[in-house]
Amino acid sequence: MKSFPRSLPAFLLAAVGVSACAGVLGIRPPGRRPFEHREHTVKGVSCIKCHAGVASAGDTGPLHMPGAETCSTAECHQKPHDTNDCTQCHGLSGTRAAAALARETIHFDHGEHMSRVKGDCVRCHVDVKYGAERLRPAMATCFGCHNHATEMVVRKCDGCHVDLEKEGIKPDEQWVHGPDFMKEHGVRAATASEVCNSCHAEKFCTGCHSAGLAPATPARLNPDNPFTPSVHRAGFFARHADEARGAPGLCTTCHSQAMCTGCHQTNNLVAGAGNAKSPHPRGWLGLPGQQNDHGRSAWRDPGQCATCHGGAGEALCVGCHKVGGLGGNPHPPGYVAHGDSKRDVACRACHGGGL
Amino acid sequence: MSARSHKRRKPPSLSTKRAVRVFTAALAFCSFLSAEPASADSYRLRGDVYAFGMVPAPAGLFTASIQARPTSWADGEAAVWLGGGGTYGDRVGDVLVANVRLREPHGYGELRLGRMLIATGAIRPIQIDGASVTARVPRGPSLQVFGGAPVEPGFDTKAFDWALGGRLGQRIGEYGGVGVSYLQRRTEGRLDFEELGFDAALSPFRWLDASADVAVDLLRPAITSGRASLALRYKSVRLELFGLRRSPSRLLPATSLFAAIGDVPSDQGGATFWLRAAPRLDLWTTGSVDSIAGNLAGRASLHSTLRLNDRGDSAVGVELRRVWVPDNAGWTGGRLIARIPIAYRFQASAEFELVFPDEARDRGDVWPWGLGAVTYSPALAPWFNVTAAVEAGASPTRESNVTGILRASGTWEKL
Repeated sequence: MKSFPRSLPAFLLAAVGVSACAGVLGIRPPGRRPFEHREHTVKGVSCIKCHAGVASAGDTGPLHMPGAETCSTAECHQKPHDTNDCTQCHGLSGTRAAAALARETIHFDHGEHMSRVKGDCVRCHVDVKYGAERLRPAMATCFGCHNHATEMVVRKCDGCHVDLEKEGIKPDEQWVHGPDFMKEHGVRAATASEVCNSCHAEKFCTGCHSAGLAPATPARLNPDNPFTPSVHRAGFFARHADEARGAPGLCTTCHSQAMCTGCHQTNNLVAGAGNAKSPHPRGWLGLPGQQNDHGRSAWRDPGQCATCHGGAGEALCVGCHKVGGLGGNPHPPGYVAHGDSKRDVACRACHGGGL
Repeated sequence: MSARSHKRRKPPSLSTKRAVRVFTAALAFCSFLSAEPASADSYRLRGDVYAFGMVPAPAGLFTASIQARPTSWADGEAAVWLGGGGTYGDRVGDVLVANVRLREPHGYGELRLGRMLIATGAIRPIQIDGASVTARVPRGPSLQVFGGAPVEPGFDTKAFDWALGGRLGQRIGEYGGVGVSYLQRRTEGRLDFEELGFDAALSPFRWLDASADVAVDLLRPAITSGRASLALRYKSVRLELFGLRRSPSRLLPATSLFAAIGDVPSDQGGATFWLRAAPRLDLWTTGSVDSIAGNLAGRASLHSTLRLNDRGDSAVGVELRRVWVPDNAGWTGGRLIARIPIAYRFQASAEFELVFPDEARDRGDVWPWGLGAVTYSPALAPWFNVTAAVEAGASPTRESNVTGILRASGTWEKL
């Protein structure tokens, strides 16, 4: 018991810290809950009484989300139980944020719908009845009246969704971009590229898959959003050689040889006698019996060799590795040739009398 | 690019003129399309301008893009890169995309003409100057056929270069789709790629996603590349298992000497686990084991993102990463990320990364990299925003470098 007075401040400090952390993490105290729409409706308060003006706001007008003044100026809550703003406890901030985002990104005019549903807001906002956190009607509710079958098939979404990218909604749950979507996006695009086109213009794809034309990756074009998924993030350029070793063939799937040679030649990062900037590490090339790493590296990822030594540069290899040459057999153990040494260009280089 | 190297800028070349000419033509075409839109249709024009400079070795990069959707049955897109030098060699201009798309109003068909990226089926993405025709039956089969000249950087052309291919697909209700695709490419008249691809993506239940694709080299029959993934979802948890095979030599043209040196594929297998630990806190980790020409390698990473508001436009994140690569080329790194509104209409973002290579090899023991950016969107013109950023780092490729980035972006639309 003696230690209690000393531990009390620490306990209080820890409690405050935990509460603060919970707030930051979005964990709400039990008292913070969705706005009591149902309780208001049951007491006969019409939606328009608080959301006055929503019917005339049009497509771009204000949201008409009631604040403390709305509650207190009406005859209902003239003596509030608390001096705080009502919205601090009643209703979730996320609900308001979602409504604001929907105003920016969706074509919708309440006024056009009010007369058709005869003022019955709950007909669309069905979740209000259950005190749900999410009050925006599901798309299925829209389809109860609107037939958009054709638009769905051709993925013509912009009749309602002004800016799908900003809205952050995906066409269907299975298309949600998970944390490691970069890895699987190829498979997804392979089977339904029209779904990708719902949000992404073609220039988005060409930022990476553009024959090495322009360095226009999402990371480069969106420096203001570091959370943008992108294949080359942060300091990738600094370690690209090591990254390439860890993923043989991957560079070739997007980049042309010109992309690599252009930079390397401009910056004198080329192999040559006495060039300290040669991209080849020590022990790269040696006489038979000496350290000779280039062969093993070529087996792993011949695309890296082809980057600089392709075309006419192939003669460099053939000079040593021709049949009976100093370099010996360049093929790995167990190699089975599928080509025709008389007909295929690649085989003829060594086996058919040279280049 | 090394900060110490300097290169005299060349006068505008023929490529520059051609780039400007193509861009102007695309701009004129989009303007033409939007000049008299159908009265009931909406259209949107979007322009992005991106300027890029390096200090102390200046280089230029300027991209502009236009998307126009003047009617419900036609749209156009153009993205042009002007500038270059320095890091990206002597090329001073290129067109990434410049095409128009005409659609049958009911969605049964589509025609694209111009420079485009073909990414369909399991065949490799290819950029062509040509045409693509798609015919589809709603919720049924679809057929895409494309052909044209493969794009070469710097407006280069080669005689008798062309690519031809297509994909036959079939939707399986709302559960996914399967397809068969084909690509052949000729370089200077010689067949150097011929691939057949199979792809499938299925979501039979709300908690299960499965997808796979495989491309087969027809010239030397064997798998060029293949991927498969299986993902399970339950409430705030997602677990994905994946596998990958890639054969680097088969990704090269069959006419290349290096395509015949050997056929040593690399394989990868791993898993990703994602957890929404709290309403605003996401945690995820991924790990894989690789077999690279018989050598074991691998990678593992741990990520967390904490959103600072319910909309998620303000957030902080941490990443830790470890990569094992043969020949001690592995590294360990960490990255901090933040994106926070700092004042009315101003937003700041920052990234900081440290990488520790396993073996320095005279390349430095630590490679730091950082980026800070501020974005402003004026209240009077919410359709416009401008971003200024500074990027700095030290690495084996650049002893030290500072890059300034300025981006201005605007969207005009009539809806």
